[in-house]
Amino acid sequence: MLRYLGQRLLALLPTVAVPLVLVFLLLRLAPGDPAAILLGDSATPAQVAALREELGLNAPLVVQFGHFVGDVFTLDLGNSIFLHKPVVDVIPSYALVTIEISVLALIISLVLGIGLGALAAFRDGKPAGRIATALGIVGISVPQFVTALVLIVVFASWLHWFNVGGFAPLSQGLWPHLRSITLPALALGIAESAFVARITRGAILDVSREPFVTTARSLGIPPARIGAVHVVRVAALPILTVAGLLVASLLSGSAVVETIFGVPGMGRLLLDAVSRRDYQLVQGIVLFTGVFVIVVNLVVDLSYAVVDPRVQLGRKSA
Amino acid sequence: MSEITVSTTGSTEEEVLAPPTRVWRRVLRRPVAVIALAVLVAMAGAALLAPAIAGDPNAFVALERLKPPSASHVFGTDNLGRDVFSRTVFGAQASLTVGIVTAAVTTVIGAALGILAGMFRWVDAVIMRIVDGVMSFPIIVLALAMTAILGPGLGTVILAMTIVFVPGMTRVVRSTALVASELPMIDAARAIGAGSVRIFWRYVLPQCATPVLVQAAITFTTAVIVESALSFIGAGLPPDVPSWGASLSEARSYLTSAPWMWGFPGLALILTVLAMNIVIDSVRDIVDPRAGGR
Repeated sequence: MLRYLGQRLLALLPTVAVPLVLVFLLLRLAPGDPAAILLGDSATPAQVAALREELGLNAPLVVQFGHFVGDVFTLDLGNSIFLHKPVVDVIPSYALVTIEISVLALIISLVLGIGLGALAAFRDGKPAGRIATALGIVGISVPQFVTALVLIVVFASWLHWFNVGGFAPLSQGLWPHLRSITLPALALGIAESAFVARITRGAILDVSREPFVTTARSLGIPPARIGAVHVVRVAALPILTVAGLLVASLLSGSAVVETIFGVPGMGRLLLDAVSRRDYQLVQGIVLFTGVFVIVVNLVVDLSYAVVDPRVQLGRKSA
Repeated sequence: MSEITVSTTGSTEEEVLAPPTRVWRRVLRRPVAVIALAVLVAMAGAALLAPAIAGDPNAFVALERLKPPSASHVFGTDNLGRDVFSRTVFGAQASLTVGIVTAAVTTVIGAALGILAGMFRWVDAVIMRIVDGVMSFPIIVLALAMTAILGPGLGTVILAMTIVFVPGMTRVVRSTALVASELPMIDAARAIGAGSVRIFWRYVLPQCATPVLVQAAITFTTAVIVESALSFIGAGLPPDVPSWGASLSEARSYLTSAPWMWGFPGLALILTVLAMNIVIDSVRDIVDPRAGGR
């Protein structure tokens, strides 16, 4: 297990390098002087020259990249020009809100998606199964922000169950807080659940054809029990992989959904940083998001062994 | 995000590699797929004929603000008194252009990288690791960052999406090329003395047509959705270009008072994506009956 973990971490290096290189190049390949971009329109040439010196922009690109990586590993991501705070201090509180909503959305998408997908698979070819499959295709085709608008009309305007735009931090109590993040999480989760449903259906149908299912059936184990105990457990593997992939998708959608619902999360912060031309903050958020997704997917990979005993980490079959 | 799982056992591999013409004929036998294709053709037609069938999407009449659908404005007017029908039709132009261009560029670059990865083992290792890194990147986050540096616009949107979508195409081309190179006819070609480059171009690559077309279609739908999302939050196309996403964003203050403002562009967006997804599903169902919807 430990050896496998070591191998995985080593294999992770080139993958982690991707967001690093991307963020590094983003500012340097842009038209114009990075120092001038960072300082904004009002900067004097002397200030620009000073910042060029400070950032080491006069050094060769490779040396610059070395410094950049060094800074990242010592958690020095520069200062947010607009918020006058180190980027490292700004991100966590916003990230927490986004992660909270994403986790809630993930739970919603897994519950809805696995339910719908299992229905589509176990009733494959029958009316209920067809309806579930059709719902899945429609669900995949509706963008998150359209779902969000529909949710607002139904639950806020008509039913008055929720308010829109009133984010309540946890300090105002757990219930108001949960209430204020429910609609954003639903908007994100419903869109992703269709994707989970599709994978679940495919996975269950695949596993149902495995020899061990036939064996179980020949032993006289009731089909419902085979489905619930044996099939679902093995089918959980691809579903788990999808859950990892969903994290990137959820973080992507959060920028849109947080804007609609006025939630102070990382997506919203990024949008604000972009419109304020707060480049250090933009860099920091992009880097944080990229690395976060990679780490989550590593955790997902490692959890395979827990879910499916047939997977033995460190052996070739994994 | 979605990708084709290529089975390496049984007869399905030959089905996966079925030539597009044969798949196409079977798609046309499915009523739902035909309706979906008709929707796509109608959308493309509307986009191409936009200047002929709809008025100026940016023309506004102050006295005609927020008017419900009527004979003179079939889809009603928005908060500035602009014709929602014109904006929806011209929005199709923007969305389909972004979708098609992104899919085309992604296919060319992705196919080239996939071929490289499929042909040379060491390139394979490097490319696939990078692919993992890029695929895990939240697309809107990257697009926003690039907007910050390069400024908003059509080019930025397409560039950002291409960066994120190329890895998916690379994977598809690589895996199908690997399956295709196991086919008996490759051995036959080698036996009669064909070189490896020739074998690849003449025999392996044509086998990849169907999976590549499916992946290109997936890229198209994703690009349409992402463009509309970016335009919705104001980081997509410039404000003077009518876009479904921008129309939906402008309607946010009039959700219940003027539902036609977001209903029609929203419906156009969903119908386009749904129709393409139905076609994709039909194709997948034919080439690999075990995956995808019925």
